[in-house]
Amino acid sequence: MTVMRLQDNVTEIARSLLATTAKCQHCGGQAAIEYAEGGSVGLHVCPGRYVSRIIMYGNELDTDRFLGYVRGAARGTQGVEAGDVRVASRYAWDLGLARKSNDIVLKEMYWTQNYRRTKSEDPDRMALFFCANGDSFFVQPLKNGERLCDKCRTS
Amino acid sequence: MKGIKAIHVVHAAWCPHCHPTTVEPMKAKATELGVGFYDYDIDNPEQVEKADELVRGYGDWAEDYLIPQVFLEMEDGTLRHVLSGYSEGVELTKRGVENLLKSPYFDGDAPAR
Ligand SMILES: [Zn+2]
Ligand SMILES: [Zn+2]
Repeated sequence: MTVMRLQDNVTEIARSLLATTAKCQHCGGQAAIEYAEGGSVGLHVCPGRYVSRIIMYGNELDTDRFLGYVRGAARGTQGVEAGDVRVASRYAWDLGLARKSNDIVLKEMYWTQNYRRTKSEDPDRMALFFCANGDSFFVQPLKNGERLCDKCRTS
Repeated sequence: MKGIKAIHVVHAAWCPHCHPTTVEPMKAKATELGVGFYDYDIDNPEQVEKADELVRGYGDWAEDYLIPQVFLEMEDGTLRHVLSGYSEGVELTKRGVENLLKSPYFDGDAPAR
């Protein structure tokens, strides 16, 4: 039960203190944060539904779980390697939380699409998108303009 | 100033999370407190080794780790990682640095570890 409450706390903190918009590298528009996996995953998604970043929030680092999650989402793209994942510790003092101890409050794991190793401007590159209905990831050539996953398009 | 002996920052010259967001305010704080200040540029072959050592030993290590990362060297000899840049956006890194500089670390009341 304690673990459960801690995780709830992490997702609450992420929602209140780590939600921000970012410039989308695919269209130059604003990528807003959306949530998956009950709030333990944050996605930077633009109005065209391109996913520029996947973030997992947790009490501890679990890069295997994160890698599995991102690989599952990005299947059919340039691939995801362990070296593409970056991590951060967030503490009470840098989050601005009034706490006496300096224990780690949460950990973040990041994956950024089209960054460093996988950087490509090819419009035919298979890229990761998140369905406008919020139900699933899908992969399509970067230049395609679909905002819905296959299932939502055909139903 | 009780507690902090020096501030160490791992950074890159091209990174907006580092400059002017983190390195400059941390350096100004070190000057104000009269404590040491050391910065390590990950693109400088002479400094990257020390940068890697700090991040691997005390910070948020990954093959392609986040920058900036800030460490406090305490008077008792311990090194504490206190901040990593926020990939979400520069404004969050800026807030993190501002919060850190307002935190008990910098009013002579370093939190217990
Ligand atoms: Zn976009
Ligand atoms: Zn869908």
